Formats: sequence, C-alpha cells, structure tokens
Amino acid sequence: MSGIELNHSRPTKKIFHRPQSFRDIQGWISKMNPELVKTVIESGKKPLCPAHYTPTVSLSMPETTPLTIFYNGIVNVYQVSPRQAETVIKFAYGKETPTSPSHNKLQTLNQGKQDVDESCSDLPIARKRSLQRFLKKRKGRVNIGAPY
Amino acid sequence: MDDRSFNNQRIHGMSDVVFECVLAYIHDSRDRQSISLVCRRLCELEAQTRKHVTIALCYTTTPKQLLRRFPFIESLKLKGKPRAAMYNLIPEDWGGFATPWVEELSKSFSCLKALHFRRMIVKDEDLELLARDRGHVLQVLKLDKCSGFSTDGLLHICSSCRNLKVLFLEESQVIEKDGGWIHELAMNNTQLEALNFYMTDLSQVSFNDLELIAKRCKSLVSVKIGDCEILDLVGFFRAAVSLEEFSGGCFNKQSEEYASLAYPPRLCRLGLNYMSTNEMPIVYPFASRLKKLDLLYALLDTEDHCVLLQRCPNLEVLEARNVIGDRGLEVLARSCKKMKRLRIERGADEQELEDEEGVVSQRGLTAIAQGCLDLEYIAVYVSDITNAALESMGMNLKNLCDFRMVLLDKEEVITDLPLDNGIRSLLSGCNKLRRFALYLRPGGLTDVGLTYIGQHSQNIRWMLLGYLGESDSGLLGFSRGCPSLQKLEVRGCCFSEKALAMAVLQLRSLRYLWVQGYRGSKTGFDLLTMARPFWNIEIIPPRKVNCGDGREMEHPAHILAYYSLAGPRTDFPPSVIPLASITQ
Repeated sequence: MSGIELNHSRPTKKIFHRPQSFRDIQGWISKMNPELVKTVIESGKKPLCPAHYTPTVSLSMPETTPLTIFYNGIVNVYQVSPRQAETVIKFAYGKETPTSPSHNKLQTLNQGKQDVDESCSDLPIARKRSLQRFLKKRKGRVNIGAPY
Repeated sequence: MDDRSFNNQRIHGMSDVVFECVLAYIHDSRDRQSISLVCRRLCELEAQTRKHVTIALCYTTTPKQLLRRFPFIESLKLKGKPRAAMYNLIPEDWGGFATPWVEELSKSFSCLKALHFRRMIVKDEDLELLARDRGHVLQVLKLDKCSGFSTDGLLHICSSCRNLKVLFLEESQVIEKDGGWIHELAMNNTQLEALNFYMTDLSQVSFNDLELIAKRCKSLVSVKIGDCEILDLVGFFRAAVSLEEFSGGCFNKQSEEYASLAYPPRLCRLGLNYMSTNEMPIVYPFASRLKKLDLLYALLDTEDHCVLLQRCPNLEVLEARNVIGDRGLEVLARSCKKMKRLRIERGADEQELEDEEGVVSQRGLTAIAQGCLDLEYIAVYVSDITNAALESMGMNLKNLCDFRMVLLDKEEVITDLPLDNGIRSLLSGCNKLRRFALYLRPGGLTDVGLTYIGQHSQNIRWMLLGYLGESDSGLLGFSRGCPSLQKLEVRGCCFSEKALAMAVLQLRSLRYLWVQGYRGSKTGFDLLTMARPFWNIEIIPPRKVNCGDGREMEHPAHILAYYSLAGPRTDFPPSVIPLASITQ
C-alpha cells in the first residue's frame, strides 16, 4: 500500500477527525456525484491516473498537491495537478462523465440488475443440494435396472 | 447505583462468589447477554463463565475479539456461507474460511473441547493443526456442510483425537483418497458416541472398520453412514448394542436376503436409503418403537407410506418427500399423535419417477393441523393450498415454533389465492413462532398480506420471503412491524433497492439480510441509503452458472448485508463485490 491511505479496518484516529459527525459526512458526500465517488473507490489504491478521466489532460503537469477525498469512512489522498483537480471537481458537479473501465464494471452490474427487473419472477424454485444428489443417483439406479 | 470499581469484590453487597455460583446455572445466551450489561464486574464474570458461543456469521467478528470477550469457552459453533448455499445459489469460493479461526483456537483457547463449523471452507492443514494442538482434548468435531478438505485431513484427526466422542461430517464435500481415516478411528478410539458421514460421497469405508468401532465403542449411540450395502453390516448391527440411531446404507441385493436381518434392541431413529416396498417389512418388528423416521431417500410410493406410518404410533420426527401425498399425511394425523417435527421435501418433477398420488395440498395440511396437535416444526412443499388450511393450523397448532411452506410451480391454477387472511390467522394463532418461511408466486400474497406478516410476527427471528407482495409499499408495510426479526432472506420479490434499504433501516432488530432478485436502480447506489456504521454491504453480481448438463443458467445478483465488528472482509473472492462499510 502506498501513499497516505487509510485502512478503514484500523482505528482512524490519526487523520479522520472524530468531531465531524457521521451525518455531516453523509451530507457532504451526498452532494458528490456517485459516479465519481465510485470511480475513486474502484481505482483502488492507485493514485489518480489521468487516463481514467479525460483524454485531454496532459501527463506532463508541473507541481502536484494533495487532494483528499472522504467517502464512506475511507479517506484517500492523491497527488494531483491543478488541472486534474479541476477535472475531478467538475465530475462532482455532474459536468463530466467518467470513461474509466471501472465505470463499465458498474454498468455491467446495473445491466445485470436491469435483466433482474424483467426476470424478477423467473427465478426457479431452487432445489436442496442433498435432494438433487439423491434424485440424480436414483435415476442412475433406475437406468441400470435396479429394483424400484 | 452499580459498582464500577475494579477492585471492589462485591456487587450490590454480595460477593463475587455468589454470582459465580449462580451464573453456572444460566445457560441461555440471551439471559447471559442481559446479565453482562448490568455492570462491568458482572460482564467480566459472565465472560469468564461462558461455556458456549455461536457466531451466526464468521465475518461479524474476529478470532482475537472472541478471545478477548470469551477466553474460556469450551464449545464454539461458527457459520460461514449464507443458507442459500444449501440450494447451490452461492459461489463455491464465496468464503467462510476456517483457517484464521483454527489458528487462534489452537493457540489460545485452552478450554475448547467442541468445535462446529457449518458451511465453511476447511483445509487439510486446518485439520492437521487442530489435531496437533488440540487433539488430546477435542471431544466434538462437526464439519457440517463444509468443503475444501480431504480424507488426509480426517486421518490427522482420527490419529490424534483419541477422546473424540462425536465426529460429524454430514453433507460435507470431502475429497476421498482412501479409507485410512476410519481405520485409524477404529484402532484408536473407544469413546465414540456419534459417527456421521451421511450424504457424503465417502465410499471407501470398510464395513470391517465399522464393525470394529461398534465392538470397541460401548457408548456408540448414533451412526449415519454413506452408501454401504446393508447386508455387509450384519456384524456391525450385532456389535452395536447401544445403538439408537442409524441412517444410510443401501439395498442392492434381492429382498428376501434382508428378511433375517437383526437390528440393535434400542434402535429408534432410522433412515434406510433406497429402501423399496419389498424391503419395508424388515422395519415392522420395531416400527412401534420408532421415534424418528427418515424416508427422504427411500424408494416408497404413497401406499407404502400409509402402510408403514400406521405402524409407528410413537413417531415424533418424520422426514419424507411429497410422495407421501395427502393420503399419507391423513394416516400420519390419525396414527402418530406424538408428532413434533414434520418435513416434507420436494420430490422429482418428472411424473414417471414419483407416484401420481404424491402431491401434498390443503387436504393433507388440514389433517395434520387437526391430528398432530403437539407439532413444533413443519416444513412442506405443497402443490395446492387454501386460506382455510392455514386458518386451521393457526387454530390448532399452538406449539408451532417453525413454519416453512413452499408453493410448487407445477399447477397453473391454485384453489385459493391470495393467502392474506390465512397467513394472518396462522401468525396470530401460532404465537410461539420463531422461524417463518413463505415461498409463493406472483398473486400469492398482496401488499396487505405482507403487511399482515409484519403486524403479527412478534417473536419471529428469522424469515424467508419468496415471491410475496406486489410492490414496494408491501415491503415498507412489512418492515414497520417484525420487532424481533434478526435475519431476513428475500428471493424473487420485485422490491426496489431503495425500498429494501429503507426496510432495513426500519427493522429494528435486523442484523443480517440476504436478497436475490430485486429491481436495481440506474446508478446502483440506492442501496447506500442503508449505509451506516458497522453495516457491511456486499454484492454477488449476476453470473452464468453451469448446470452440469451442458446448459448455462443466469443467476441474478445477490445482496448480502450484515452487522460486523470486524470491518469489511479482507478475503473477497472475485465473485463478491463489497460496497464500502463505515466504521466509527
């Protein structure tokens, strides 16, 4: 793990200041575009890569400064250029759409859910494994002429 | 008012010794939980005297947390995969690894004598470690519907655990290399009381070893085995003089040969696999002694069930497939007045393989309701149902604690739907109900009916809802009630993510939710409405599963959410996606 990232399963006393209530955090986060937030999570432990966002952002930016993002108890800190920071903030205001591969993963998930929408009532009654095993074996016995 | 000082050895004027003595008599975990909340000293005392802990989901806490809280436990039960795994709905690699637990248990829990893993992944290395470090004290080992280990792991256990009283492997998927483990057990053990490898594929078990175990273990009371020819067990049955329970075996020879078989004199719990009409008479000599009968894997038709059950007036527990039919249930209701537990499973769908009469409907259920008044547990797959049958159950079955009903989908038209009123009568009449499962079809229960369930389930702790309700408002009505509901499973209902999340926030006792089949939101984030501290949310995305016969089936997404003191899992397989949890 690189950077100043927090593992949220350990006490977060160092960077995550307790005085901020859970409600405050939730309120703050609710103003952010969930797509952006999800992308940040999906990008995992790696620092922001410009290629995940807009293709126009140049790689050869001068100074970088820390950008800290709080989401659902995870704190991620990234070294980004002013230009990159601007891009991220624009996402938060819903002005840009991400083109990252993680977004595609999310779309696949939602696609599956849309399928669920239609096939909600198509779930066959599942059979218990033990019974399934027995019925298969019994078929085998019948086929080899064992007494029924 | 309460004394918070560590040094003071008196609580409310009484010395610790008094409380220690009293605590030894209190076994119920909920009572002990209440006691531990009184004051710090009582919390410590209770923790030090706690003998058994059940952890309903292994990811809700960590081995170290368990050690800190209850260092002297003698018995631990740990559950891993969701219950749906028993129906092949959960990916095999989902999780529930025993390794971190075994490591800590072997190292630090000096008093541990009994261990029960249910639906977990256990490795040979885990068994080897357990055998090496705890072999001399382990008395009970239950690997219940587990997977991931082989007979090599069992060999370690059987070689080292000479004081083992219970070895339970029922329905575990064991990789079989040889029958050496049971030979070790036969050679090393004289304490065995229960041996169970029922519904495993362990077939290289020598009947000579079984006979040796029966001879050497004078306290052997329960034996449940895999497929072993019954005639080979003559010696075993003769030697097992204390045997009360036997299940398994199979009948491969000509029926006449089984006629002279002698069974142990105290045998009263029986399950004979692949027993057909011709072999049934071997049970007659001791049928009147039978308390428990397992006919799930027998080859009997409806008439056979009627003939057999008539001879079992002392029967308390019956498991059968729905081939028993309404007629069989009527015989049961007339002849078996001591019935406590009844489980009717779903037989084969193909008509040729099961008796035509083999369907259960309101007729059979009404007979049971009126005839078996002591019934505490009923689980049944029905082909037809009416409100009146459910009302009858509500009126008569006052001891019912566990009700589970699945409406099969073969019949297009059901006599009497929706079941709103019947369900309401059942729930308000059976006020001891703790567990409830209802699996219907669209139109089976309206939103009003679903709200009734919420209103009339004061004591219910676990529920499975399948194809119930019509819309989100049904779920929201439901979730305003159910004051005791701790664990909720939902399948095939068309509730939205948002409604599910809101329902979770309303169900005040809820600590575990499993859902398969729901209406997803565009962003997938409506679920986050239920995001809160200590609440883990996981998704198993939709996937295609090989049915084994070349076909592929689409499995819709699952949601799994639960309270945890351990933060999110650290061992996610590719098939499970976490939504981040919040810790304080």
